[in-house]
Amino acid sequence: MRRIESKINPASKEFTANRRNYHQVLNEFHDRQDKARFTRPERDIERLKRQNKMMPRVRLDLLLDPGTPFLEFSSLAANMAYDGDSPSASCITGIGIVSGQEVVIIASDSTVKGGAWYPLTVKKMIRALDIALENHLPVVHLCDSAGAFLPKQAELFGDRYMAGRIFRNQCLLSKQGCKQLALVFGHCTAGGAYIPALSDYSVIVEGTGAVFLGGPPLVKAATGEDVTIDELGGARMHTTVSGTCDYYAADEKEAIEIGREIVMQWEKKPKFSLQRETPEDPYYDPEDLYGIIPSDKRIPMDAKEVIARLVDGSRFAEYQPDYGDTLVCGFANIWGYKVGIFGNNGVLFNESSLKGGHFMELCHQNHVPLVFLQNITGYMVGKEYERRGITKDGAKMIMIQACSEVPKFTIMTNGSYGAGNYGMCGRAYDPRTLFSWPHSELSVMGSDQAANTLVTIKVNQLKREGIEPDETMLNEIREDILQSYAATSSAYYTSSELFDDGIIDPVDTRNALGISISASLNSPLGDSRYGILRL
Amino acid sequence: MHPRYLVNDESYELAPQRIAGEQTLVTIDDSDHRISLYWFDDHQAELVINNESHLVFIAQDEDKLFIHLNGRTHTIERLNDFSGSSALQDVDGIITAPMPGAVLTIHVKAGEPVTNDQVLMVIESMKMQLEIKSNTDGIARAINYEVGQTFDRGALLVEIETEETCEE
Amino acid sequence: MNKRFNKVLIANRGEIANRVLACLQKLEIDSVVIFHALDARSPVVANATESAEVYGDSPTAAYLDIEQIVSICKSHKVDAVHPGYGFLSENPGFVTALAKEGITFIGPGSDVMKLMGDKIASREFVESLGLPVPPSVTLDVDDPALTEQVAKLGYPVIVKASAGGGGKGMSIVSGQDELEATLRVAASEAEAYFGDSRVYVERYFEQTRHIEVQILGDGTNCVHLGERECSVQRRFQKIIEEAPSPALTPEKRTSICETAVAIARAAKYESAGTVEFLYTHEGDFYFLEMNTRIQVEHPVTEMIYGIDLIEQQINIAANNAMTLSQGDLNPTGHAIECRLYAEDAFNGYLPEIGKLLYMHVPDGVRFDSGLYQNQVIGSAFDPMLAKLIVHGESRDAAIGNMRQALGELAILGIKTNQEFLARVIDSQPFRQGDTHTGMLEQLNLSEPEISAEERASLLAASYLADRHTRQRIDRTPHPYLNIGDWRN
Repeated sequence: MRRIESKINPASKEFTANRRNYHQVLNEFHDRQDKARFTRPERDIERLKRQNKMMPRVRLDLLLDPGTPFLEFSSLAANMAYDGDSPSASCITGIGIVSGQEVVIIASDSTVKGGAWYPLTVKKMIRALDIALENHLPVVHLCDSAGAFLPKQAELFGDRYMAGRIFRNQCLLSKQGCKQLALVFGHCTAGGAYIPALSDYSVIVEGTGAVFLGGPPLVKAATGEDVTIDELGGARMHTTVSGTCDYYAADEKEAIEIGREIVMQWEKKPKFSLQRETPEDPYYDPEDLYGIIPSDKRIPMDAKEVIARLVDGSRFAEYQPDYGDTLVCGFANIWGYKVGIFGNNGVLFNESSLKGGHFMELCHQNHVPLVFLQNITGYMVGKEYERRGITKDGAKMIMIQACSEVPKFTIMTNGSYGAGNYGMCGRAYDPRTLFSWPHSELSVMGSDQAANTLVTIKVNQLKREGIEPDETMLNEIREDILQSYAATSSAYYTSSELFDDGIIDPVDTRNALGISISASLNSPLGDSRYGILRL
Repeated sequence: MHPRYLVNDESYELAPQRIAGEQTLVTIDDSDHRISLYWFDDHQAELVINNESHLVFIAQDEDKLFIHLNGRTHTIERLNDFSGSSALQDVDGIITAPMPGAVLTIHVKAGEPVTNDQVLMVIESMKMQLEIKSNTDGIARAINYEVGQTFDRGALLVEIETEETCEE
Repeated sequence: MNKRFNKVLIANRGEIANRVLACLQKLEIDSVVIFHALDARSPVVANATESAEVYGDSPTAAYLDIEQIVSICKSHKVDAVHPGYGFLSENPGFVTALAKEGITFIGPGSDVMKLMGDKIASREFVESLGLPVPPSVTLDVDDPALTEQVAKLGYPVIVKASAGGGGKGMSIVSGQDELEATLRVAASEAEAYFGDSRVYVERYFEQTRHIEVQILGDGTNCVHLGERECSVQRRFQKIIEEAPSPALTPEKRTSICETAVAIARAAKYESAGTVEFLYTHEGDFYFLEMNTRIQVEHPVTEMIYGIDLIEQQINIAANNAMTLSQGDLNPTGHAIECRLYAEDAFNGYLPEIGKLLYMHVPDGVRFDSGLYQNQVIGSAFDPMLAKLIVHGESRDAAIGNMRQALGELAILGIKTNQEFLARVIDSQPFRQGDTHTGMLEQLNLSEPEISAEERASLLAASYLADRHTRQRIDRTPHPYLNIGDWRN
């Protein structure tokens, strides 16, 4: 393994211009993220105070171990949906350490419409549970929700990956031996009642916590019975009469303390081993990335320069350095863990596709996870390439990647377009985690290309209607398409729709990957099914 | 939630930052420190703090840490961030034992009204007698020890119902 | 001169039981130790040749149960008993009960014990010898002339129980208005604790020195082993003692020691005993009381004379004769003893309870204790944990050694007065030898501050040693702790 020789000149005009641009990108990112995380209407904050409830992030602070990180997922979920009515999709999810134990945390945010579940809330919760399932992680639920957001019920109830999936995932987690703890800080109504019920351990807070399949109004309507919230499903009742909840807590702080003690009792399961060395910070400053990322996506970004700012000691053992150079492959360490890295330097040709596939086979043989740094416009097109079987070669790469027996992790470092997204392990290929850099874009093709096609279609349509568009109209049409395209291909859109696990500052990539890799080692790495096929 | 410890009746926070090699980086009193502890046996250790080395003897009993450092022995109490500290003393109606001992005589029955400073019982400890007096007006709700029974310091001897604590 | 005991029973516990056992082992005499269940794990029990459990309504009652102890002596075929100090050491009834069974009590006879045990009678005895006693009034509590007589003495005065001693059963009265109430309480306490309600009133000298003389006698002959000064006291209990006293000129020393010997000889004293005097600022001394037993602070005398007092007691008891003569006794150097108590010395000396988790005793000191690992220190017995004794060529050297020892000694698991003792040793008055019974009150020591650096070290050590921290950190997987406190 040799240190990558960086050719970047931090004094250059380009570097400085890029940095200036990126600082603005980051400012926007931090603004939007802070708003999503912290800005709440005053009356909702007051309401929590009146109810004697703590703010959800305060609960989290008390729950997590001191001196440990928290990798938060999808802070910007729903930021472009519902008119912004559900910041962070009304919940907080992530991976953290509680009593020395790695856990997935799913916390309702009752400062947003009482914690009611929007369709994207459900999607975010399911995603967190899927992460727990795939990585064999235990889960801590912080329950405090008013239930489903009724006006949107058609989008969150009934289908396979809607609300019911939450509880299905809980069951399968349990089947896998992954423990779940529920801390009931608020109401768990109807379906929501199953979260504590399906958790292995539960703690319920006096006065505010309640668990019932139907609340008092529903009960009154259904059977005419008059009953208070406490009588129906309060802390005392469930911990002394029904046994639905295990521990009674006089207040939220006590509940968290009990929760931490419960987790302290959990078995420390041995993790699957991965080659690991002493971690080392990258030789080059990760902040160099701000000067490396070009302000214009059409300008190329050298994948090796990016890798040099992410890996231990900036050391990289490159594979087939002289072949298929539009895909950079090699071994490196991240936080001590050996990984196989894939980075794009242009479109994928036959050679690069084959090299990629072959290197993936080597990673399987070596039991090493795959890390994809996506910056791909697609596979090469054209007669020569089709005749040489680019489609076949692309298929090989996708096949090996999709059937991977080792965990995969993806970072959207710039652009991700079309089939290139597939080969480089996009969302559909189940990377254990997928994070986007704030400036990145995701769409089926580049906006210019798409705009041209769409304009042509629009013009033909108008012509059929007998309208002959002029220059101005053409420009307007083009502008409209470009704008809407830009909006829906931005990282903010993809994050809003949960096409990723969150936007992260490029400088945070190392930590995000380190934690993701560690979390993935709770589930077994598989073996290769074949010997290496020389591609 | 940062660990907090009681040193000489004041609570102090220690914020762990991260671990680098053998050392832990922490923040105490707004400044950073590099600390590590090497154990020679169950109780003797070397504390290294910012490259200064100290020999220490340490023993722990639940939440109390006894540390001998630089010629002095200290008792440090680990504070539980969740429950408040004991401090039941000085609350009206809560009468606790100022030292360990035994009940010599009892001068009040449960249910009887009492006045502030009224002698409730006489205890003895180390061949000294001490009068235990009420710290409020009210009604003696519970006398928790009998004549001859021993107790530890801080034991809840008598509970007095004041107007505020009366149940409807 | 060569009679020996075959088997000696130690009717005591803790530190002094250990001390006596050490001597018996040195002399190769078989030992029997009695113990209450609370002391079952004490090393004395394991190390003695035999042991026997005693039972009682309270732990103290068990050690005071004469009938039970005598019965154990008989069943174990014991030929002598060493009573230590406290408990039955000054109980004439015990002496008699043992004598009835032909068992020797290692100590004086019951007659002289009764005489010296009655403070009023012993005062009168000494006065009859023409030796000085403090001005006092010994009328009955109800006697109408009492108040007037006490007023004549002059306030402040001190009310003492006749059957008391060892610092117990004493209260100071600063004015006439307090006298009657104090007398009543003192009388009732005396009845409760000592079984004798008689009290007497003495003129109270503030800021005097407490000087006592160690004597050894065999009924005919009597020698002294110099004086000890025990002025550093709290609640009438000694906490620091030294030998010799820094206050006495050679002439005064001779005077006091010979007075003590005179008293002991007149009483035909047998065994080890201590005559206690009050030594005023002006250089006058008055007889206070005589303790007819080995004292807690006997080690300082042993250190400067090189004599094993317990061994002397045993020899005298076995042979009814003493081999020592005054000419054999030549002290060298200076010795200081500090008593370690389980208490919060800076806050009213309130007793502490806890468990002895760990102890580290520095080299080169004498450490007399009955302590053992994991011992529960409760409120059942006296809170004295141990005695730390050092010797030096001079008083300054001894002070230096004591100060170093107090810094190096580590007792973990219970709060002690160790730091307090160090502060007293450090103080100007102590260094200069200006010790007196009101010294501690005057010093008014407060707990020393902890500097910010020390605090940081304490917090660091606490955090890293804390079981909770270690448990959590052991479980936390890589690389979380290395990444540390980070949020994205």
